[in-house]
Amino acid sequence: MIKITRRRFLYCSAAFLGTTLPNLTQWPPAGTTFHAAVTKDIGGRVLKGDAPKKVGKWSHEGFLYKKLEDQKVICEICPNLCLLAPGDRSVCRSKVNLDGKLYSLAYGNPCSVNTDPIEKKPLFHFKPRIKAFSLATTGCNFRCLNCQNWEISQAKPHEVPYTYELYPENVIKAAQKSRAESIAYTYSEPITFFEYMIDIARLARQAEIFNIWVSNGYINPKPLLALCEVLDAATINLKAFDDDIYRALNGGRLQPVLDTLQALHAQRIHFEIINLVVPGYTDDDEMVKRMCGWILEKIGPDYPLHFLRFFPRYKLDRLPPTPVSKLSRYRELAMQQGIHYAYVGNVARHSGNNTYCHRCKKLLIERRGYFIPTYNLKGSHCRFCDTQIPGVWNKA
Amino acid sequence: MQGYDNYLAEAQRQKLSSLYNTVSPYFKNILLLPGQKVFFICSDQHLSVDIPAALEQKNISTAYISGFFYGNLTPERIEYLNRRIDPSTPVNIDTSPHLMRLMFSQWFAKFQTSPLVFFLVLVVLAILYLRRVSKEEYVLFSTGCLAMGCEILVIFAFQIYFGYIYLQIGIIITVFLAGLLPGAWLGNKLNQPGRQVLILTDGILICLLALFMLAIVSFADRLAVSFYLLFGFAVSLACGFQFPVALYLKGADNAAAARTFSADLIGAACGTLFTSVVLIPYAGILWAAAALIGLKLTSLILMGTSRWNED
Repeated sequence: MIKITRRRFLYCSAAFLGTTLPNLTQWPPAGTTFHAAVTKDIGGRVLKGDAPKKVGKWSHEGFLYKKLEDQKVICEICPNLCLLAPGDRSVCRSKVNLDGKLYSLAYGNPCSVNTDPIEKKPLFHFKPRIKAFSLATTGCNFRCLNCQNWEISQAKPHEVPYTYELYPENVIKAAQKSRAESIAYTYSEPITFFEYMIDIARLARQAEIFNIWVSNGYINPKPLLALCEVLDAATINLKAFDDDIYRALNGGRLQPVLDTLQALHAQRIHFEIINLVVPGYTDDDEMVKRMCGWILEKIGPDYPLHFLRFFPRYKLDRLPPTPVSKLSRYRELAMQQGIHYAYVGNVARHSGNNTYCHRCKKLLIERRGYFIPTYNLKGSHCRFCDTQIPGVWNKA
Repeated sequence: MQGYDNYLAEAQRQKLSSLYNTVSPYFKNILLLPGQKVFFICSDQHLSVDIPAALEQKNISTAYISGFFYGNLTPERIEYLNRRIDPSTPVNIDTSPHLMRLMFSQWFAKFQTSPLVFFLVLVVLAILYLRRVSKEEYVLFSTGCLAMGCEILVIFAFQIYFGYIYLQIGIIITVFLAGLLPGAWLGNKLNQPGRQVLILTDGILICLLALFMLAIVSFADRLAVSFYLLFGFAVSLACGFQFPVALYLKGADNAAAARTFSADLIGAACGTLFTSVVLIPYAGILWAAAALIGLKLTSLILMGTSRWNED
């Protein structure tokens, strides 16, 4: 048998422990925030020289941009403020600079068109049971790792082969034909097809069709105010209440989204906030408390807040779904802090799907999937205690 | 099968089409229901789209299903999915797992990357390397490539026909290693082996692979587990046998040992990558085996013709 001296034993032990001990700092696995979640910025970059050679069938001049020297332009729709030289493509992949002019590339060319229940947006306090004619073109100004529509949001218009030709006037006709009382700009990120959206919205307003904006809220104030003139309701995705997580998970920044919420509040547009609880990124109790505190202080308790269950998607397809108990706790926490209407989404048959009067606590709207078997509102008031319920409701 | 939320991307469309085309010869009616999971409902009877109504007819309470169904499975969504099925997409069968290739494509699309550059670099490096090797080293390179290719083939075939590779992967890898030692021992026992020994073992390896193909074609899922294990052992035995013979022919000094060992390892690495990422997804199991036979034939021809020249 080979003998080992004490000195050798110590050397070998030191060598072994030296390689394994550093790992003990991560043991036991603790905390809820992944290290990766607070260290990287995954934001998109301008794509140099990636624009098509000439203006295409679905190109439309940009709504808001600044012309600079050397035929450069700055797109002023969203806080990315893409500085584009001729031939460059924007971060959202939908805008290009062609000979010193900014063009949107997907005007009249949606890639996804469906008629959905309004509850699917989700909008729980806006005209329950109506249908939303929903459409999207390609593109997004974020790079969310968990995007559920990444095939269209992270693609350039020409990379998506199956699309529709639907100019604004035809969208109105199609919505009317499908008996939808509203049009929802959704699925990908409507900010990237702003020109198309606002032209449809103006026509929809004339045709007495509601306009619904489902967005990440990453937009500059000027285009937002222009949109608010024709907007009826919005769903804003407040993805986290932490700028580092916004950069690591979504490739965006927090403050512009908060500014959007405040602007919508000031413009008296009905909106609902959604917060997707992503395990390891946004399932932090303290962050939820801070978020609720900000909502109460800046925009008040009446805007519904939806805590949505995460399911493995896109690049985060190895994470587990959010535990339902956590979503229930956040809903309780939000309501304890003073938010009047907090919901749990993406969980079937959960009491957090229903609306309860914030004063008498009685069941106002029962939801089973997108089906509403119980409806206890009289106009906009609770049938039991006559309290006015915030939102835009069907007439009594 | 994994579905989509609001847009059916091309890779996913091809996957669904492949599966649809695979089952369509066996059922009169196939209905696809869209959603985050796409459900295939197949029957020779008439299929109704309105499942909540069908349940209601049977007095089954549908409170939740109706709410979910009428929001997510609108007639437009169902029609859109069924309309976009591509009848020309190849079917997915045991010996040609077309879905696997599509899954690779989807993975690369998701991460906005492509394996092309990696493979080009690999091919260039392999060509540069192969230009510098001797014939004996090429024999070992192709043997390493074939051995690992066979191992991947067995793993895939086993998973396809038995479906529980996790329970057997240890023993499969073991048999592919277990033959090396007795093979090398037998090779060492030969007294002054010539190139004809390498040619003979090349021939044996080709026969083994041909036997594997024949067995898959003839018996498929009726093959016993022991067949795969015996095949693995026989392949590794031949590989182990070739190594000391090639080394003897190269001169058996340290440099020759290093070069022959390198040739074997480089071949093994190439075989693993090429078989699992290119051959099986793009050509299927049988053609992958045929390609490995083709590779070994090149080594056989090289050794055979060089002997003639030297004689």
